Amino acid sequence: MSGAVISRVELAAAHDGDAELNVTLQYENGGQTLVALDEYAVRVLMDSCGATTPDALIGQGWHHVRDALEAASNRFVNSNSTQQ
Amino acid sequence: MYDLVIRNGKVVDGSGLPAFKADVAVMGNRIVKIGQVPESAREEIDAAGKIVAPGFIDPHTHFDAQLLWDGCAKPALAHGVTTIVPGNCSLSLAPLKAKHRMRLVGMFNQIEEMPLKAFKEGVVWDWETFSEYITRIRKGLAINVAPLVGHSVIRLWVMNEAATERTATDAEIAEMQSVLRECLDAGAAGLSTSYVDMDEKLQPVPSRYADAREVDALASVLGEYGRVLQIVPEFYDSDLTIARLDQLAELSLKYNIPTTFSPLFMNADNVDAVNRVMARVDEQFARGARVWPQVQTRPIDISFSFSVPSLLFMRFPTWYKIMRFGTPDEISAFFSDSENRVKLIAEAAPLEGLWPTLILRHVETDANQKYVGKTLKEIAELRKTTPVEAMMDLSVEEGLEAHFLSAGMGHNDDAKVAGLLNHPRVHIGASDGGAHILSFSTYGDTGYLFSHFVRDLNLMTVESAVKKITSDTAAIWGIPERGMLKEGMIADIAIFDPSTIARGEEKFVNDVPGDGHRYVRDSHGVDTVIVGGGIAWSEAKGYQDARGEVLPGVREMVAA
Repeated sequence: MSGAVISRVELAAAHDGDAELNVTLQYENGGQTLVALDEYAVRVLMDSCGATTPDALIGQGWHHVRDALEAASNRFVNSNSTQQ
Repeated sequence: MYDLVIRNGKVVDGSGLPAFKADVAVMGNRIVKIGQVPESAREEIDAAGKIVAPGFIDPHTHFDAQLLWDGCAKPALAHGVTTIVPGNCSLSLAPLKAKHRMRLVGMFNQIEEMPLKAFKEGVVWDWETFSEYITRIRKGLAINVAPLVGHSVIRLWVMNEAATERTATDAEIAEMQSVLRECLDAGAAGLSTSYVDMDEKLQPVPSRYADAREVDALASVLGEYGRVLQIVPEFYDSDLTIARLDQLAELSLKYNIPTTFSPLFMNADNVDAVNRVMARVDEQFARGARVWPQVQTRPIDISFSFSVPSLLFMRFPTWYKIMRFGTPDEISAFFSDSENRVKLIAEAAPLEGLWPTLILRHVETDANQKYVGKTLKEIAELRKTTPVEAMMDLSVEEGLEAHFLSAGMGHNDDAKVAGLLNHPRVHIGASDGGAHILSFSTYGDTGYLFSHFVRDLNLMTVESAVKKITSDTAAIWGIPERGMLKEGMIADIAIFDPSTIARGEEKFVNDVPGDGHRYVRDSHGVDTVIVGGGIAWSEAKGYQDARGEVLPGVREMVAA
């Protein structure tokens, strides 16, 4: 799958005092965006990429991040979904 | 004869202009003279060597519950804070039907870590409407309160269980508008909503089920009153944050309302993202919108124990693997095994710089209480071992309930944070006072602003720091007659020593109803805090007068 890839990962402190992983996605046109993942999302991301260290995430496709965020967001949701 | 004269102090009046020596005279609840005051007063304060400033305004708190048993919002008042804004992030304690009480208590417990027992033992539930809640907290109020009403509770009031099931119908939206008007008439300073928070069942809070039509309709009511909209955007994603602030800007322009979003904080690796957010803020202000980002002064500490998976050790494969897949018993066994320990110790070698600052903050057993408050480096010396082994040993001895604190892990690049705090379109806030009470202290951010950024680093002037947390805040929120020291203004005043003001060390205290605990910080260097002309707190005598008001209350005052 083409598109943005993970170009940088960094442990960071979250607003609520937990550790989180800041993931930078780099697009094909050079643009970048930053997504912060909580422990649950990171766990999904690491499993999905077969990674055992954060550095092994570098170069992985954006869809892994999307799926991790989605899994983290839906972890407790049953049939409900947000209506934004 | 005046009621109160503050003599010999250096007045920093909140305008940002240079400090000047003057006396300040108060009659009733108002400042009546600033200059030389030869006349006597019933009460006099010698402020020689101290700064006399407007009382500080904290725009982002969750004191909603605490105000039911503590009208001082301790220890905020002692830090010089004379006005607080509770009800942020879509959650307030009113309007609230009796049948929804435990539901909301669950949300406060989940999101703000307010213990369930505190609600059961510290709260007499004698209100449903916002007006009744205001009447309830007015009793014994020593600090001013400008309360937001939460979108989630309005939704719950109108839609009941459907509040977390679907979007609202036209009729329900109209009823929400009507309820919001009632709340604003009763003194609400605005509306708060959230796009990220989860409830007690770890489902999205009610406000997250609203569609744009509903938010627009509620913003239109805020426009009728010129009141504030506060939101929590998806702050984990810079693009989503920017999209939300664009939405806020449209609402601000359409209904001529001030809006604010929180939190915005700067870590080493999100500098570009924060710069992008700020660039969009600047663009939107240039269009005439008011979208104020809230930035906290204090750095972010990371708390962890090995009973809950933390990312702090994820760089180390052996640590990550056992924390990712191990049960608590397996983790304890793994930490105790000598072969495993060799691997764990070797992998953790890069953490050498962490041990002098990593603090043991909580244990369960009496035997280890003597180590609480000490760094791992100090504990290792006492136990004649290495810091990493001390951390593992303590965790095993405590059934993984040894809690550690790594201080200053985020929002800690002083120059960059100061750049944000000094930014003319940044709103200093996001303290979260009254929330996260079992994780860290949310008090003393103003002391930290003066001790760290003004005194130690000289990255802000005392005049600009005072302006940021007084007149700027009052202007953003439309709080009348406060935020500056001027003749005719309400006498909310903080007197402090610029050479000693600071936040105290974090400590765990037992002052929450139901034998509950919380982390707090005492104030240092604050001499006297005056609210509505009365001495609400002084270093010498502690808490005293209770002249706090519910703000803005403009309509009420007009009606009266």
